Amino acid sequence: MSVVCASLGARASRPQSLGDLKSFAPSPWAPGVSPSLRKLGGRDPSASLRGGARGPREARLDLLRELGGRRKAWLPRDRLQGRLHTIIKPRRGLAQLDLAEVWQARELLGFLAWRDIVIRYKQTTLGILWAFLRPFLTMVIFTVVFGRIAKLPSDNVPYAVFTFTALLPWQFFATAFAESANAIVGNGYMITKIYFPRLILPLASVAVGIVDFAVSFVILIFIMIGYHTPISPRVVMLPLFFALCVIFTIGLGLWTAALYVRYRDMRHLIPFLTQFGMYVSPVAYSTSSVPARYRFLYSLNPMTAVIDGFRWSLLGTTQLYVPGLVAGTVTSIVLLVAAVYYFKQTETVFADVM
Amino acid sequence: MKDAITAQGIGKTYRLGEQATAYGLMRERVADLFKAPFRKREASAPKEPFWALKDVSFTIGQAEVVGLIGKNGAGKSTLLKILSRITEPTEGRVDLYGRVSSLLEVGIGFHPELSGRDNVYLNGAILGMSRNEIRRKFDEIVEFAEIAKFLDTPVKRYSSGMYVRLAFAVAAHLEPDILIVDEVLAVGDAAFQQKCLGKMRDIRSEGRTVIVVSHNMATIATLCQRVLWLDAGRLTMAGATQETVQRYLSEGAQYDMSWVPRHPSNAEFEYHSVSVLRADTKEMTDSIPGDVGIDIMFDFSVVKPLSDGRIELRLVNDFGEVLFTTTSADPDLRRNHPWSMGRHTFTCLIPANLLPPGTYRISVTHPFGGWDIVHENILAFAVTEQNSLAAIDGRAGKIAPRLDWSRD
Repeated sequence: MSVVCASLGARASRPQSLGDLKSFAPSPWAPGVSPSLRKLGGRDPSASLRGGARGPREARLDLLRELGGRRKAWLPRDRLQGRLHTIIKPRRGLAQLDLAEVWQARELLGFLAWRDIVIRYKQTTLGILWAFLRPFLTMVIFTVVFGRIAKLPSDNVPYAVFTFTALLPWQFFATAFAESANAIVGNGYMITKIYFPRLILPLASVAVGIVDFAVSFVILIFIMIGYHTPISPRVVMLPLFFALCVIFTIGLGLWTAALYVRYRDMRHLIPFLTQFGMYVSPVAYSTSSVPARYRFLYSLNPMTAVIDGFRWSLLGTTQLYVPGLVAGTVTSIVLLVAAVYYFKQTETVFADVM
Repeated sequence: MKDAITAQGIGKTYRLGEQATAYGLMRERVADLFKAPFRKREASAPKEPFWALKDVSFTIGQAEVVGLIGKNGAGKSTLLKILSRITEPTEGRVDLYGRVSSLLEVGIGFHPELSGRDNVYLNGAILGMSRNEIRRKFDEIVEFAEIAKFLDTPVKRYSSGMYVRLAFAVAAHLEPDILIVDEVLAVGDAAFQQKCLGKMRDIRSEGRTVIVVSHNMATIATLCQRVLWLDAGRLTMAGATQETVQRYLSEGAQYDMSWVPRHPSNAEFEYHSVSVLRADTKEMTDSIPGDVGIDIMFDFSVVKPLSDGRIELRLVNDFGEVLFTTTSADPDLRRNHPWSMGRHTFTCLIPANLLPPGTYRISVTHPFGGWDIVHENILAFAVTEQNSLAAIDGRAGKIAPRLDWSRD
């Protein structure tokens, strides 16, 4: 670095000697107001708010109008001061959630998700076709292995359709969880170089999963048409079950992402968790094959409620087990809240530990 | 003048050894859980906290350009990271008024597979620009970076120069009220560097507040009005650029008159010492009048005869600029220069009336490996204003040689 700097220095117009630095004093300054403030007429907005002729409301509206177009997305705004006011100090006690900050950075979330999607299919021959092939091939393998060879019951629906309705939410969960869990460590080089709301990273990974989900959903429609399986009118309830799935995924993903920064063991644990998770969720088999006395315990896994919900609303075959649904929902929400708090609490050391 | 940044008593501590446990395995934590009840609360020696920063307070006014200087490990990066919210201080408080952008590195988030166009949007978003803002400035950014032809080429195909230009161009079009910069200026070829410096001056004249870290005192001197000097995590001095830089340079440099390597270098060759001497009196010194030549004396042993031995020496001025490089084989136009076994003394004479007053540092190479094996900044000496041409009239130039003029 020093060599490069030196050559830069050689280029910079250099003072004649140290004793002559004054001649390089900066050219006359613009009046000491930033452009945004100048637009406000150069007056100190806080002064006018304190006792000016205009009421605070008008002044505030003025400010919003002025700042609205060009504010930096995620910095807190001290509107009454007329300038952004950022306070940096050690956090004590419960972390501040500052979800508004995350909302303001939603464009960044979009860009990061878009980046991940584009990169995934760059330099592949089949390109975007993979988005269709991956879920489709998984379904074919499941149908052959579990449907044909193991002959697992499928609630009187073609096995391909039966398993694909479960693979839809399951694959979303498995990939989005793994990706979001890795989001902080995987983007460590960004964490140590610039500030932005850290929550954006795992959330962007989940957003990528949602795009994949949409693609898979289209395939499901075609498969159901191919097998002449009617779609149940209960399909209107599907978004609710998907929402539950997303909540659970974000909760688990955030928590793991924050833990992963400190405990690199997660790298080995994550693939194991998703694999193990598939066996304790009704992906390849039906919930009806689970003995009734284990039913509630089994339903504590929110993915059970999600997958049953998908089958219930798409195929109309599976019965909804309400205590399980409630348990799954409560588990997911509690997990999400706890995970967000844990994440916010530990994010202050991300850059130090990374 | 209104304040842009006020910092009160900032401190940042990393507990020694924390890195190890923080990075550690879960097993340790799990094992601790089980061990805890059985273990007597032994008075585990409290770990000595290491303060990377301690008690740093300062105020920076709006539209001020302030330099941050200090040796490596003085806490400059930690302070920048706190100001840009990447890490949290352990104590103290900072108030920042205005939009803050930090450039600790250019091109954060650049992905090699993506095109230049895509990377501009991505990087802009990471730096905090909105999509509309980027769209509005897009043409300007591309023009600044001079890459219009390659907009849709993946950046992995870019030359490193193009890559850096594009990265800097995005950063240069941020419109923060407060800008925090870490030596990112030193990028690209000379012409582009000029452009960057010009951009920095624009930023300054637009009334933005800038904090810039640099090891290059020339950059600091041209850009900054005021300088904060950090040493060992504390603010040693905060004041006008000229004064602070001078103090820093005079105290930061080691005024050893002679250098003796701490470890024997290798079996075939060994430096005993490198010294600075006055050419007229041959006495070792650390300050030499402008009209006296300077001898750099190398004392070394050759254990195995060499067919081509060569010592190289590099002279660096106050501002970190390399003034020249010279080698012991120069008088023979770098022809093979066999060295016999035994102890040798070489002397390099830097002529009188060449260097303007200032502090100079010397780096030398090992005869093997050229600039791969370098003893950097082993010596420093000062040329005083006494009888110095440059001191008489304050003429411009990095060197001030007395040249022959023929007169009719």
